[in-house]
Amino acid sequence: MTPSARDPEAYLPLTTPVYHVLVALADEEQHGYAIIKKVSRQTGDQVMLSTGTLYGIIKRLLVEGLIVESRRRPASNDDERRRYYRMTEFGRRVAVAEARRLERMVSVARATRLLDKPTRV
Amino acid sequence: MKTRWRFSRLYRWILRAFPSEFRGDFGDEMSQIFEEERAEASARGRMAVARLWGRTLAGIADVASREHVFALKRDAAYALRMMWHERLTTAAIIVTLAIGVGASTAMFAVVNAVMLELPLRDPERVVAILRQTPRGLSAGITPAQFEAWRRQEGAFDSIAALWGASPVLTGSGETRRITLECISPKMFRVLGVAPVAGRMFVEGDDAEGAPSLIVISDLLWTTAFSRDPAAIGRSLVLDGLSSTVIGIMPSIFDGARAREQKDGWITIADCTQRARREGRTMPFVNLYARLKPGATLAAGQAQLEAAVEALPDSQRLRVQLSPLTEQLLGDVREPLFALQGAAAFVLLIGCANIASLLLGRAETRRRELAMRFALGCTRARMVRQLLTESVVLALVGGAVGLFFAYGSLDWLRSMIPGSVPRISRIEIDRRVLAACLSISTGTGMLFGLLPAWYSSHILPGPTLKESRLASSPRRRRAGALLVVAEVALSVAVLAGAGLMLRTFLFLRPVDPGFDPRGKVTVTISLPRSRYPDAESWMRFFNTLNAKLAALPGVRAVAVTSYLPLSGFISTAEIETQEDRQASATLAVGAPAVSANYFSEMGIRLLRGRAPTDEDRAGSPDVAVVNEAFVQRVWPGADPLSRRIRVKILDRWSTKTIVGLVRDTRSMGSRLNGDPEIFVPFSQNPMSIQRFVISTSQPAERIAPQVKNQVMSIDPSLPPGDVQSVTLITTTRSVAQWRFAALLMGAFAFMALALAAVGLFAVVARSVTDRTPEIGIRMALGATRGEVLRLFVVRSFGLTVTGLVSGVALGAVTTRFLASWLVGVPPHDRLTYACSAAVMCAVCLTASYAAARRAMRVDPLTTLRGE
Repeated sequence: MTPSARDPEAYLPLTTPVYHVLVALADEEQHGYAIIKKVSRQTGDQVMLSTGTLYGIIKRLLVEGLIVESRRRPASNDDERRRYYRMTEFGRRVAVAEARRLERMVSVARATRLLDKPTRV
Repeated sequence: MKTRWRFSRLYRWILRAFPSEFRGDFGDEMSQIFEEERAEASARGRMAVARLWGRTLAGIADVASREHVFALKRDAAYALRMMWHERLTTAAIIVTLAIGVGASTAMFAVVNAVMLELPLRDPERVVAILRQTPRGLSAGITPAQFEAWRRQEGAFDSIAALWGASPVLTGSGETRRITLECISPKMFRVLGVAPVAGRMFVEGDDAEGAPSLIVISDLLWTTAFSRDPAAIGRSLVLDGLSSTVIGIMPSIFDGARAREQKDGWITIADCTQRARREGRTMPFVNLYARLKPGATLAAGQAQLEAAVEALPDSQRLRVQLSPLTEQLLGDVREPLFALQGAAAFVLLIGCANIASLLLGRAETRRRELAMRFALGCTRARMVRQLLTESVVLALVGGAVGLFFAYGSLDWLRSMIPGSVPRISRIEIDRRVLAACLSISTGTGMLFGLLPAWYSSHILPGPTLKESRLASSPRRRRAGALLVVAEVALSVAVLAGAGLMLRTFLFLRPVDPGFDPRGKVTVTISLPRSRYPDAESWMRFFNTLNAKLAALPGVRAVAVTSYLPLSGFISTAEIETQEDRQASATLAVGAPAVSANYFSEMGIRLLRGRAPTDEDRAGSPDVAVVNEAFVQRVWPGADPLSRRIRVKILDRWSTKTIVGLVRDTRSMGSRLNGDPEIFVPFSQNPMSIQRFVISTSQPAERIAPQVKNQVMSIDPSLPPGDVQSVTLITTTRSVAQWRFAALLMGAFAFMALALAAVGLFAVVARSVTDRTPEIGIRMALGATRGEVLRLFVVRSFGLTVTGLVSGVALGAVTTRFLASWLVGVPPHDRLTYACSAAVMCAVCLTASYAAARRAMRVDPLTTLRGE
């Protein structure tokens, strides 16, 4: 079965680290160290991935076809040993599905006044 | 710089926790990232570095374990696919394993129940106090001696006495006899057991006039009270007297002697009172003691010897302390280990066979494996894959084996002789399951390792270039080694089986001196409370005799006090000389028998006459003696018409010998009979008699009718079990050896069959490998006979090497059987020679059958094939 024929919903819910790794790869390809840094930045140091956890996730995402290794190297003077990973189209659909799911959960909390409405700037 | 290098080495080393392919894929990247993270953290201080290490190690531990499980699942799935693909090989392996694992597990279940599960606290501190007699150690200590010692302290924590009783239980369902132990209050403390509900006996429960109390077993709690928790405080009627239930023992506890399941425990004082009411006395008790922590057996022994000195002269005796475990398991331990060992040998032979089979398969998969190596599969990965395959195979085989073991338990329980304690406890419990699981996994590792190691040393280059598949010399050597091991193990098992068989044949009563066939027997024991005197016994037994004789299908009914070979005996004292001054007393067997006993039992009358109906109370006392009696009392003389003084049931009488009968053998035809004097039942009635009923019906068919007849005379009198005479005499007397011989024989048969199959496979393989060579040889003029010889000689060489190692191995292992061997030494040359000869014949037949294919090789076809 090709990735596009699969149902992204089947992968939900994603674990927090997996979700953040996918989000970190949403804009551009990254190498491992950059992913760790980006995840901790985008979560305000709430999620600090260890190398073991990161590569456990990367392996699974590669096997499932949610990311691929990228041949394009953004910086030409980069260390040869570094590998870059890119999100696939299917990976993007899974990440979007997860984000929607989270959004729905938050809106349920708001509808019941468990959470305040977001203040618009 | 140096520190940095050290840390990065350490990190690389920790990465070994991951499966090798994961490390291969991501190891370099991970090290590099860790390096960068560490550099950054050390700029921020030590705490940051410590936090980084903590996070890193936790992450690795978590992910690495998950990766391993993932890899294992994938390998197992691959293994199952391979197994399905090679169904025939798989089936052969599973059957072989099921036999080996099944045999080992079943034997372990026996060992587990009998030896490992003693339900006592610190059993090594519990000792039996025994009496030294000229015939060996016995339990006979008198109640008076126990009274003198029961308050001993010093080395002893507590001393307690025990005696058996089997009163009739009425009013709780069916009227039946139950098995009790009469104990002094401290017995439970000596054994270190506690009730699951209620209380144990305490000092004072056995005081004169105290109410009758009973602690019941789990068994009686179930049968009489349906496990009702309110059983405590209720009462049971035993021999017409009521006893109050005060406690319930755990199901695992069988009492000190652990031979059979007990129904309950009452105090010795209670027992004595009941016995007195029945007109019986308790001559002896069994004594047990618990040693204080730190006290030695020798200290206890010395203390007791000093206590013996303090006894009055008439009560002096020689005592010996013996550990309880020794009493229970002394004779049993080593033979059971030997049987467990034989089962393990069968398993090992099976392993060797399977290893050989897998080596062959690795051979055919060589190109596949070489290709995988060439494509970058690591050696560790390959070994793990192959080992997973073997372990999965072993687990499937083990599961089937467990099923076999479970099925064999009933048979084992019925076969194991009564001298082995705790037979009823043999079952598949958690410990046996765990053992089965570890045996299976261990087996998988064992037979998988050699082929895996071999496969991982395949060189991709040369293998892929080979035109055809021929065995490498290394594989041939490994195969040969396996055959030698199989032959050696088989010979050791065969020798053990041979020794047990010879012991069995030696002891088997070829001619026991009587004919046990076509008879059933039942014991009737009359309570003295309702049957106080000889007249009442005579009346009951004569009525019952007539009723039983009138049953359909019954030819005759005879009566005796005990049966030969049954292990029971009632004795009398005799004065050996007519001149009482010069006489010595001697204890001999003294059954009271009916007039037709000898003719019904087929015991041959050699001279004189048997008792007749004319020999009744009031007429002159007569007796019949056997050959052993004459040998002992009047060697070489004619016994007929001699007069002898005999003391039966505390009464002396002078009897005239009227007949001489052949000996019945007490154990095995080669051992002599015991001296016996038979007295007519009508002149010496006893309250306990055994009926021998000649009938063509089996015991279980006639049992209800017999029971009805007994109950029709006295409804409150349950008879004992109705059993076949063959079962309780000739069969039971050699049960221990029959069991060992049969089981060893079964193991030997399995070993032989597996070894034969193993050798066949190895020779067949080598014929296939060498087909081109055979073709060339035949083309150059070799005859078929010469080709055949080529293979048979080689396998003969392997067999002989195996035989020599096997005899050496057997010399060590059969020593464990020594305590059960009778009439044959553990190193019996004939047995070894026969085992070796049988093994040799089987091996040669197997290799001949396999090598015959070599003779049919057509040189032209083969050479063209090259």
